[in-house]
Amino acid sequence: METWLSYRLADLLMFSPAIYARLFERLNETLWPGHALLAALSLAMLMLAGSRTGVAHRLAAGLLAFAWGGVAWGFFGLYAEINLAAPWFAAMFAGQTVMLLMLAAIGPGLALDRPRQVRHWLGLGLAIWGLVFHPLAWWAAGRPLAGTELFAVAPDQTAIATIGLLLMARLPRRGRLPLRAILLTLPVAWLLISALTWWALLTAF
Amino acid sequence: MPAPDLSRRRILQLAAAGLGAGWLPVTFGQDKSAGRTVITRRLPDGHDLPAIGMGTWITFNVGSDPEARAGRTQVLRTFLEAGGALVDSSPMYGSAESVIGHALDEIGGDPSVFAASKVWTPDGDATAEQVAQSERRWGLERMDLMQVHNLVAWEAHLEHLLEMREEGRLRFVGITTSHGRRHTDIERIMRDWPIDFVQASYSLANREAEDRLLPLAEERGIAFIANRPFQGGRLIDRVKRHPFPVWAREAGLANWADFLLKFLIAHPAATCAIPATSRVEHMRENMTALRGPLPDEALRRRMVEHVQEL
Repeated sequence: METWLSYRLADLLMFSPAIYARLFERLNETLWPGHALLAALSLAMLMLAGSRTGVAHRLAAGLLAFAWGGVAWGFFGLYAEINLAAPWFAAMFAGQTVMLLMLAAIGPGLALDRPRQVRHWLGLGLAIWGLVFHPLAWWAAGRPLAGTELFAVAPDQTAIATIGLLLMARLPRRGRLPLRAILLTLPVAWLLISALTWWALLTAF
Repeated sequence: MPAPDLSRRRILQLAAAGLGAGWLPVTFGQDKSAGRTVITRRLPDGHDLPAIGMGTWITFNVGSDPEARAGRTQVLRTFLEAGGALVDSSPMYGSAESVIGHALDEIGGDPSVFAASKVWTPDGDATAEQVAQSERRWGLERMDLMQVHNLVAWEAHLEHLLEMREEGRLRFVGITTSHGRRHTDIERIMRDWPIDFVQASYSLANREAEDRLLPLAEERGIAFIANRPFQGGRLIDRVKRHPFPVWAREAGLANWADFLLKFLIAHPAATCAIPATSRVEHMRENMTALRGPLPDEALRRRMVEHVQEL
């Protein structure tokens, strides 16, 4: 234990920032021109979640599950080549996929409320940030357009947008089950892991 | 791709070059372009090894990225062409071993690399499996050196590795640590076990190894590999912000990489320093330390004082 405590976060880093950024370029190369379909599905998810029918809400939750499953399979499949811990992270994303599928199948689905409370507005801000501005921020920071991190492709954007959508959603307690808190756990956990990774990347190089 | 037969190579060297410099892959102890003798260190079995090697932590962990793999192939090619031999890796370094194997395959011919990797698993019975995995990833029939990484399950692994050495399935056996961890255990193993190599962090800014590990390595005839010679890049980045001292240039040192690396290999017990880089121009700078005069003790003291003042 004493030995492990002597490691700094940066000592555990296995790859360089450039190689991490290249993952997104390579993913986008593989997906192109499928980005148009992804954008259409993302838009459809928002419209379905904002509609008034239960079936639409279930479809919206299903599409959000699809986004998480896509990241678990696509991004983490590639990330596993350079990070030995990636399969564990993939399992987290697969777990969230299953929970969102359950939300679609046996829960209320994803039904967005009109923004009335602080929680709603915070959620709206995060959803817009994750879906639109976070990818643009990378581009503005100098990363090539080909390396843009997108919702349903990159884990950070997917987690941020999901947290936003869950904060905006009508998710009543199911008996003793705090649905919202349960569904927020893995996205928040991933963002903490990602923040630590970026902290290590930025301080080690 | 078979590892070179060092004994045969050594005989050919002596016969062809008459240098008596021992085993020096490809270049036979000479820089092809400049004709200057490569600095080598004698190994426990009597062969000689070029004193600058190459680490692969982070730098060679690029996965299947074709662009990055091509870049690392160029780095390895530059290293070998400049007279380098020892390449150090580990299964803990993600895809690094496979990337080395790919680069060696791309370089083709008979790249006379001194292949050093590690056993890194808490399963003490998986030693041979990990050695075989390294051979597969590197594309070699036999590894030159296998080390117990950071002393993980070290007792069981050492027993197995020493058996494999006796059977001729390995050339050398070693242990590693980094960041100054577990030096007491390292010393105990160096005293009690018949190992060939020890690897620990040693740089101009971290000279803890000079206190006990290096003298013990010398006493026991154990080769010493200095890892993190640039402290993960932080040391060389720091010194590069300052002008290269005139007195160092007058002493025959070419650049900051040469300065930091020659300081290490000038220690009488140091066998090889293994800087890591992903850039060809940095590799060229590193390899300048493989030739030219080494600093004497007085100059080494001045080098320490100078860097401490920066």
